[in-house]
Amino acid sequence: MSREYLGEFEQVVLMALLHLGENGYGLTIRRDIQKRAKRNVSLGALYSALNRMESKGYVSSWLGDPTPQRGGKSKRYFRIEPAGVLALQRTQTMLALMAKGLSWNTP
Amino acid sequence: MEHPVESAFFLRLANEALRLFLPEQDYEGLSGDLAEEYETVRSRRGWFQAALWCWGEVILAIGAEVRIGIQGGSDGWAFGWSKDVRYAFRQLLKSPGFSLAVIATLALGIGANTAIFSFVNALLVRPFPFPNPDQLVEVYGLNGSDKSPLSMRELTDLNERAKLFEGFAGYNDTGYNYGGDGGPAEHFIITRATSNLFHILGVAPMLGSTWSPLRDKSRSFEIVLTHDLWTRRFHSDPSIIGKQVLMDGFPNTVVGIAAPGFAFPMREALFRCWGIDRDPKSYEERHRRMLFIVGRLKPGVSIVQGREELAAIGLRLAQEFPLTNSNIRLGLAPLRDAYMGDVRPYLLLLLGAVGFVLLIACANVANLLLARSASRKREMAIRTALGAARGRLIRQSLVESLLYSAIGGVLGVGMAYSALHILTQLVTVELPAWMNVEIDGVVLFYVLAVTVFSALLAGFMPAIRGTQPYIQSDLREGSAGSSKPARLLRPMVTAEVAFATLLLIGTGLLMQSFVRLLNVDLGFRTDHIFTFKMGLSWRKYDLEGARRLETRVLEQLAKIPGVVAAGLDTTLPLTGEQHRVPIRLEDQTARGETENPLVAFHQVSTNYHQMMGIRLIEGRRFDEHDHESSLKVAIVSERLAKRFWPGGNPIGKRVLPGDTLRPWTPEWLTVVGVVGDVKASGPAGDFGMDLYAPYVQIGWQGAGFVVRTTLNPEAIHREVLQAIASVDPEEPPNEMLTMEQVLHRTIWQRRLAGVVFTILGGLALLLATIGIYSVVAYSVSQRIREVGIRTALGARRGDILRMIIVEGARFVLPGIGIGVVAGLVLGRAVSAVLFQISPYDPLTLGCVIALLGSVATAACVIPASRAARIDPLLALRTE
Repeated sequence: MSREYLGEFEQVVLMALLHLGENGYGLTIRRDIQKRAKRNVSLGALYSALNRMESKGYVSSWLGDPTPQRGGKSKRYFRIEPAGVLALQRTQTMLALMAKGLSWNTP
Repeated sequence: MEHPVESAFFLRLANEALRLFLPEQDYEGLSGDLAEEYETVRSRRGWFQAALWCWGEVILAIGAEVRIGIQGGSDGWAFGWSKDVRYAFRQLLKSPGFSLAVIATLALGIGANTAIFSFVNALLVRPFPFPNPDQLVEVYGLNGSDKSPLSMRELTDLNERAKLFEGFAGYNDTGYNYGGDGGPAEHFIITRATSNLFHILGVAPMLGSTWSPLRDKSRSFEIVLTHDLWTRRFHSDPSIIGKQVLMDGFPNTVVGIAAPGFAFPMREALFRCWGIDRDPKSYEERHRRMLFIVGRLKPGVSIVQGREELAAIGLRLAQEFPLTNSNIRLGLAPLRDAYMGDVRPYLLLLLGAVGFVLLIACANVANLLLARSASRKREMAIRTALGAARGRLIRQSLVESLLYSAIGGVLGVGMAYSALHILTQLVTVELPAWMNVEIDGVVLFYVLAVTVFSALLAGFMPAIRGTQPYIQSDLREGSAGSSKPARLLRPMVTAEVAFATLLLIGTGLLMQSFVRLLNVDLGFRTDHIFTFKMGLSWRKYDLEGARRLETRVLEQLAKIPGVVAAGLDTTLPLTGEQHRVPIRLEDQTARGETENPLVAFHQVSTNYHQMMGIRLIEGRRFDEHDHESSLKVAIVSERLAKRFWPGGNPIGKRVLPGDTLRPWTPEWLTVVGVVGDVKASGPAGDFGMDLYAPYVQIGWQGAGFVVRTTLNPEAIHREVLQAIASVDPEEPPNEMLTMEQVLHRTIWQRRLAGVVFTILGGLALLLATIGIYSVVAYSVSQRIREVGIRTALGARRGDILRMIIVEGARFVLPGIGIGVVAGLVLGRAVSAVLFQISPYDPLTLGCVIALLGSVATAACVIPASRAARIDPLLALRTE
């Protein structure tokens, strides 16, 4: 298993997936990030991050049923996998260790 | 939920773009997300904002995909390039036939672009080789819309009065005969110029100096040799400076050698101080306009400002000198326009045309690569399964197409190099010595850009499509093949056919223009005529001597076997020379006289009109009774007759040609005949007003000779030289050409455009045909099973044939349609270079449609008939 740390955007996406549970697909992930982090992300960037993490085994995806609301297209749902949870924890821990003892006054 | 019409359209477009670039599962999810969110955005912000938002997302998504592709996925940007290149080479060698087709196609496209761009670069882009060339202008007189040279007095006025200019120099061309150094006698075209010409142009002689202003009004001449002449005839001897050489039998002092490659305005052999040739009055008289003027604007002064100042000076001159200047305005143009004004539209047209050829070539290569990507699906799938990131595969594909394109580029430059050799032969005569059409750094940079552009254009889509992951299905051997490449190939061939249609319409129009131009009735014959010019030394030959020599030359020419007649005209038609003189009528008031237009004055041999096939309309031609001591006679052209004696009979009327013909003292001439008009300036020009007199009654130190033969006129070249040498070996002929060659020189731009367009049109047709054929053949190969089933179910050969051809027609016909519509829209752009033909000429359009239609049908029939012969049992077994 990889011992990699995650990038900032990857962490944001994985946390959104944790929040969303079984209801994570492109639009809901984006809305969740928008709601919590007040940050706009493009669908393209989101999908390329998700693809990248899928190839590393951090997330998995499956297609739902097509709906007319989506022009006959399916939702592509994403779910965080155990490896993803581990990577997220590892990164968070590392950040917390680094941050320990820091004072946040600007020098 | 149903989307409103405009929403549906935008979404569909966005979907297509996504489908093209994204992997299947991303496409499915992302396009669904877009459709879902689109409705929300639209209801809040309106459809326009929604469309903008939607396309923003699409572009970002494609951008992200492309970025991954280029960076080679997780491997990073810098990693593995050499491996990619090595792999690309292996692929190239693995299927040599395929590689050859791709490389040859690209080489043709890039080579054609390189050749044409070399012309554009030399003629329109590269700065003239003078310091601050943008400040250089051509200045001329304007009589109505007729440009005219200016007089020495006017040049002096300009230099004294204009404040926004550094100065003005005057020049003109004249001829010199040179011999007596042991080499053959040679006729030089020389530039006779005022002393400041070098200063205005900003060039200095390589050796020595130029002449002082005093020499401009002197009878002893100083010359600056061009580097070419100095090396060729004077053995690069630096001690020549300060020495006198005999030119036209008269000593000229060499004061300098010009820098290598420099001549002005065209390809003259040497520069001479203006000096006083035969007539001191030429300096004083305001109406003797024989100087072409080049001026230099002061730094920071615009062309418009310069033009305004000159216009003001022109107005003041008109007030001060109403007799000579009332009808003359002063005009100015950038020097480049003086050279290239009439070539520009042709070159830009050709550049556009080769651009289309390149697009067609790229579409063809993209087709080939796409078709191959289908057959390499399995390879890609295995590599993906073994862990290759998609980005690396995309990069790999792009490296392959870059390799093809780079080899094509190198070959293309080689092809362009040879093509330039041929093409410059068509035009060199008309370009100045320092304007070399060659492949220089700028051209090479352009080639590089075109090469990379072609590689991306041709390779991008195949790279994206060919690497789409369908791992599981593709690993299964023997699937009937994805229909996706075929679906993508068709619009490309449609585009190709459209471009080819457009080019062929252009070719058709230009070729017809050219043919019509050649078939214009010039008013005289050009076949079986050999021409040359002689410029006699006026120190050696006075008028009588010149007449005698010319008569003897004519006699010698007539003795050459095969020669039917030999004649002369002081200014031959189509050579660009004209002797434009004012004329006076006997019964005209002085006021009426100033309004007379200038006429072209010719001194001709008595047989001239007959041997040139110029029609007699009234009265008689000249004959042997018109000699030196008989009544001074003239023949006028029909247009001249109608202008000066409208409705009346000109025969017996008397005219006095103007006095610019010194040293001849003008005399009244009696009109004895009216002849047909001639187009002296070429087939695209107008009929002129011509006044003819027998040369034996006046005389001139030089003439254009015409020799009519029953043979191929080029065959008598040597005999003509001998005939002239037998009369005076020191007076060599120059510009020895057939009349047909002279004619072609007047229309070289159209000829160049016609030749190049024909090549390009043929190329476009060939490439489009290959494109159609390969797509139909590919589609047939993908449908063997289907055809087999249809045959097994009872379809006859005719049905199969029809099915394939109809399918071909479905992408060929729209292409022809689009091309024709584009041709109609772009027609106006080419009308400037057409001659006597409308850009919407229905016959041309019809022929192009028929040609492309039949070629396309042929390209479909071959694979179709192959399909029709398929044995159903065999086809079904291929599964």
